[in-house]
Amino acid sequence: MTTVAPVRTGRDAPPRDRLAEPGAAPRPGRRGALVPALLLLLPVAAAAIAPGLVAPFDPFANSGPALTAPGWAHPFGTDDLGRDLLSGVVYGARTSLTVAALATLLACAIGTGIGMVAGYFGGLIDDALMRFTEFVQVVPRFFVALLVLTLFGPSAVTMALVLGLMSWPGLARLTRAETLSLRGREFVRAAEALGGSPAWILRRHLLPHVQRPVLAVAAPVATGAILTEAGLSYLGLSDPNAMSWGKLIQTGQAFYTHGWWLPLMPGAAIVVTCFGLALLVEGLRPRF
Amino acid sequence: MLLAVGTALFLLLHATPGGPIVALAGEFADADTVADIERRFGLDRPLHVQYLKFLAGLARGDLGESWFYGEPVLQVLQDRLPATLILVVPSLLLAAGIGVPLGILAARSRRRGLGIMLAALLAFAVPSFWLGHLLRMAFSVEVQWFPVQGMTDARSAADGLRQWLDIARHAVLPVATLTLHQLAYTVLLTRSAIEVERRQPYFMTALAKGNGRRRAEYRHALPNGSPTIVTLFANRVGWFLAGAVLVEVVFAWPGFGQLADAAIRNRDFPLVIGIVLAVTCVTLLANLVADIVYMAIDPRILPHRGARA
Repeated sequence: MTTVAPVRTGRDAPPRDRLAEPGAAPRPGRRGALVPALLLLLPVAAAAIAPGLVAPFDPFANSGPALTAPGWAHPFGTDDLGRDLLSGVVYGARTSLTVAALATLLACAIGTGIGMVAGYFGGLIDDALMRFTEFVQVVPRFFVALLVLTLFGPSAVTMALVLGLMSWPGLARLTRAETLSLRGREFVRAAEALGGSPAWILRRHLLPHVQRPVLAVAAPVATGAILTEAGLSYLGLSDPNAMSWGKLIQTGQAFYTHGWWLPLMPGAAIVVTCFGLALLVEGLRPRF
Repeated sequence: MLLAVGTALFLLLHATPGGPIVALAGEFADADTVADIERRFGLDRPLHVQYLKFLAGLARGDLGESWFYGEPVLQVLQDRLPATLILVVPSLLLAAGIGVPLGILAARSRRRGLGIMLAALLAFAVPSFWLGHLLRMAFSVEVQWFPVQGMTDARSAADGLRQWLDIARHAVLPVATLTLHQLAYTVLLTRSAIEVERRQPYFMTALAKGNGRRRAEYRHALPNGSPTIVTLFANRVGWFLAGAVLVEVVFAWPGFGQLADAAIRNRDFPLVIGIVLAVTCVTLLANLVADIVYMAIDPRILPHRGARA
């Protein structure tokens, strides 16, 4: 049952997929980016993990006079109902990051799986899978998410599922390219000679190698998910029972003449998170 | 491709709880009303008949009738298309026109590129609808240079050139908002593409032959790097159009975005399908054009490999 592939040395190994993602090209990053990245991301992460500890008030309860400007009692001010905006942003972090994390995990799982199978087996399977990947890649994912959420009702889980199911093509292309370059290497050939099944080789020998580059491309997927989630919430397609940054911007915009801080603060939270993730990738790149 | 998208959409719509009848007739409609609506839109036929009719219509460019507007979907889409194009086309041109030179500049040296790179990464993190709102607060509310929203001034009855100037004035902020993301993306991808080319021996040869740095970059590195740039730029069009929808909603611009927003609220399924199909078509077209440009730039790529949209 073992099929031995022709030996591929470094020279005739297939080139990397140069269209995988612009960030995918192996290049040195900047270690210096790590510190600011962590400074930006740690508060957001803390907010998402333990919103009850970080937030000073209940985000849905009245906690002061309406439309108070940012000050000591309410660092981000209060909204038209007297709710503390900082607490809203803190609880919003949980929603946004949960959606982003779920979507990214799902995308990584699908992308790695499809990419590895396509790269390892090659031939017809590769052609079919890559054609499918190209198909998903060009389908505008924002609009699909919009459609599904309109039809099935807005919920954080649905949103994460749709975004995850639509965001894997970049990861699949990268994984496929990595797998192709590993496919003919000696350790894979040795594993094949030992009689290892393809599933075992993929899991035990190839997966550890393709994991690292995937991590570098996963961050942009998360950023995309955060921004898409915010955009959809802005259109009113957010979970009605959860705080969300997009929703805060949407509701805050109506009151911007009375409180400039209302749309400003949640948007700033999005910028901080996404910028932090981008810096994190730059900072971690030398290690991959 | 389109067939697959159409089929997926059709299945999705029929898997929905509630469905169109609830949206049109309300939750507590009597049986007669429901039957009437079903007959009018052919919803009482078996599913496969509906599906075949849907596909046949699609092939003829007939997307059915909008339930809300009572007009053919294609007509509704055509009415809104010019407004969206006014935003989208200048925006894409600006992004490419500014982004590529900036990206080349950023590729020159790590230190000099740092500022541009950071700016691009930051711009990449800004949600377009939020940026649009901020720009409006600054330039329309505070200093009142530009109108707050809409595409034309309702009070002016100007026509011809004046009307175009009016539209242009209204378009400045939305176009600026929309451009930023695509611009940042273009800078990042141009930089990484050119950086790869700069390391190639031919670039050194070009410099050694007495070319100036700029000439070596634009005449030698850019053509070699451009297939990647063109393809990835086109790949991004779907994301860009999503931004256009949000920006249109922010600025109350009467194009596809607003239409999509309204169609979703009205549960106007044929219109939603029409919009998603139209956007998909545009995205496919963009990728196809990219492939053709790709072949024109790089004669090594054979047509049978290139035309893979």
